[in-house]
Amino acid sequence: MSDSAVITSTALFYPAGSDDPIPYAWFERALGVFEEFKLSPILFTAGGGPFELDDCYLLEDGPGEIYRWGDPVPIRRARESFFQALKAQQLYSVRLDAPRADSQDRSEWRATIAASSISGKAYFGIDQDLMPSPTALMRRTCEMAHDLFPIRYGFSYQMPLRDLPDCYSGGSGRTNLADALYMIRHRREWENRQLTPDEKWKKELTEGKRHLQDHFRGAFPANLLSTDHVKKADLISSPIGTLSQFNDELWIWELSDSERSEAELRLRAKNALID
Amino acid sequence: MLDIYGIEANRRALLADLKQLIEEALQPFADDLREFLERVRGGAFGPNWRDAWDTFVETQADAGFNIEADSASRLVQLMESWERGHKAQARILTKAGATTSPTSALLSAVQALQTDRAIEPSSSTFVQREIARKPAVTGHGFFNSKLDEAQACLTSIKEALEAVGQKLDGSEVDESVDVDSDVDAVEELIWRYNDAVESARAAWLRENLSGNDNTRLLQMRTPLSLGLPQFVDDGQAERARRQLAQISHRLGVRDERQDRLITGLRVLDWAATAAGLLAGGGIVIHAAKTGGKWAVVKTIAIGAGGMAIEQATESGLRGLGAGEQTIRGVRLAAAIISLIFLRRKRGIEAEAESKAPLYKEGPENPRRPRSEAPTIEGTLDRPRTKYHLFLQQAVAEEMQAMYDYERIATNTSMSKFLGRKFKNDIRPDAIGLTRDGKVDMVEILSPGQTKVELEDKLSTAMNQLPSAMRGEFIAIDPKDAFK
Repeated sequence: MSDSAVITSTALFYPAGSDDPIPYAWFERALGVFEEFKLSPILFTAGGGPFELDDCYLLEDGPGEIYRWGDPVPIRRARESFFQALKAQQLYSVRLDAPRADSQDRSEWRATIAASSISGKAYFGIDQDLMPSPTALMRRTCEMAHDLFPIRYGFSYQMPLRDLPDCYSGGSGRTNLADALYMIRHRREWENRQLTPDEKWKKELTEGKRHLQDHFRGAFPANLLSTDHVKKADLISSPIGTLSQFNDELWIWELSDSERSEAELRLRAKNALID
Repeated sequence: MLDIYGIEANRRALLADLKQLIEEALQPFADDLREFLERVRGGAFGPNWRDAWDTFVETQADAGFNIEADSASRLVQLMESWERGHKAQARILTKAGATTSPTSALLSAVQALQTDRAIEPSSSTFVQREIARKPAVTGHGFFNSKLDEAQACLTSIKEALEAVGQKLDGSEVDESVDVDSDVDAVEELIWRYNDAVESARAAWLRENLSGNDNTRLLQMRTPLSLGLPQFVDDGQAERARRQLAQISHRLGVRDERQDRLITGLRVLDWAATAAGLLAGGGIVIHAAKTGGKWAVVKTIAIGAGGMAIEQATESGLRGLGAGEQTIRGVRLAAAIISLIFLRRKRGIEAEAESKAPLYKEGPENPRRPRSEAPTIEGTLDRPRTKYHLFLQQAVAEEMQAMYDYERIATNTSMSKFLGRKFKNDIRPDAIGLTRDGKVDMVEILSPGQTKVELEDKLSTAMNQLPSAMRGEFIAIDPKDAFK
């Protein structure tokens, strides 16, 4: 495990039906990123058509099976069938990632680009040494997605790979055996427990979805906002950080470390935080 | 030479005769008290039952039966608990030595009964007087009357189940339907059915009735044939077991139908299978927040006809003349009621067993002893990493140990587990059905799997269920499992 690896991430959120197809054009743009940074091999997981969300494939064609990470289940090559399913608009979830050289399992990657209609989310995470600026990554991710998905909200952040930055975007984190056993042993109280901020975010993504209106998960180094978000936080008349327009409907809000706590206070005061 | 063994045998015979004579003499009182208690429980006297009780006590005293004050007080307590509709209190009284059932109450009262001083101390006089007052039905006639009584109970049970089925059919999705009084009624009818059959068996043993009569007993339909537990009272179940053993011994044969009845003693465990039936039908059972009354909620608009049914139940219903529509409603109602019986019973047991440890060890929910644990359905997953099987088993066994889970399976599809077809039919490493009808799923990540996508898969699967059945899902990464 690359304990020191830090990942720059961007997550964009949009309203979606759970089986809306992932556009082929988005996949081509994602593939372009892997080529630009010379990241290979490319692994993928997809949902829809012939693919299941719990399987791992190699974006190559050719004979033979690949065994890796001590898993007795082989990684199959499936480039052609993946392209066909994408073009046929059968896939509602697509994830591409390039493993680290010393990876012990799939969670140890250099870059991951994913889009899912289940969660209405487009995610781009990449090694900090390849893309050090959260704002630059925000712009890059928006360029890839803004004309293909009806984006309403997003944020960029940096965190160690060991903290599962891809999971963080959806409010999930590491789960150990003790967590599972605790839930089972306290089943009756579990549903009434006090949710952590991350759990509240996870719940919001499937239930309230106020982030698609005018609510914020927090104040991140870079934030993608709708006009409603900007109004809710009163960022035009009383600015904090740097607000710039991405297009007619979307804004990028940049915050330095020192500005983030003030911004968080503003959002809380405006009742704009999901917590 | 004195024949000691002969004297002893004579004494025993005399005592047996005396016991039988006393039982027969008390029979009219027993019948009257039972009838009276049943009328009170059925609400025949309304709020004026105390006046009726006073009259009853006086009438019985005039007839030569004085009820001891302590027994009378316990009976009044029992009737008060019925009046308040507090079944739970009635059960507590049972545990404390009183009873919920008229006959048990009767036995308690009769044990303490003192004969009036106006009655001659001679047992023969006593019997003659009582027989003259109200001739007891004995022998074959009594046996037949008990079979008729049992049959009438079964018919009433079927009608009660139909009523519950209709009530549920007529309810809206997400509407809470109170079934507490229906459950009480069916519980009482099952109790009375078994009471009648117990009396018939006692008559068969006492009167040395024929093998054909025993065959008639065995051919009777039972609550099991309606998809319900055979017994709701452990005492009745135990007495039935002893009677059946005596009958077998006397006939020198063992009839497989008797074995089936004895097997039926464990029907409260059997009722757990009803959980799957209800889960598949989108029915959620819950005890309402206020008053602890049992209610059900129909979470999806599914017809009872879409549900699986045990063959024996269908045949039992057809035997009672039920049509297709009735069968659909009744099987659903029977599953609901069986499950509520189970939960009531397990709830009491769990509470009793866990109270002390709970206070000592903190707020962890009660664990069930291994002997009561449901079987883990399904198989373990195909070999993955060295931790995969261990974690899968650890999670499933933890669910098995907790009362909050009624059914647990490993590597079993949702469709198979819940008895319904699902479009996204996943096969989680562990799946559990909680007592309040929720489905929990746990996945163990393989090295090539991603947590985000696995959780998306679990979320999609969960969202196919009615909202009231959506439980928790967790994906564990073995790499983090022991941190």
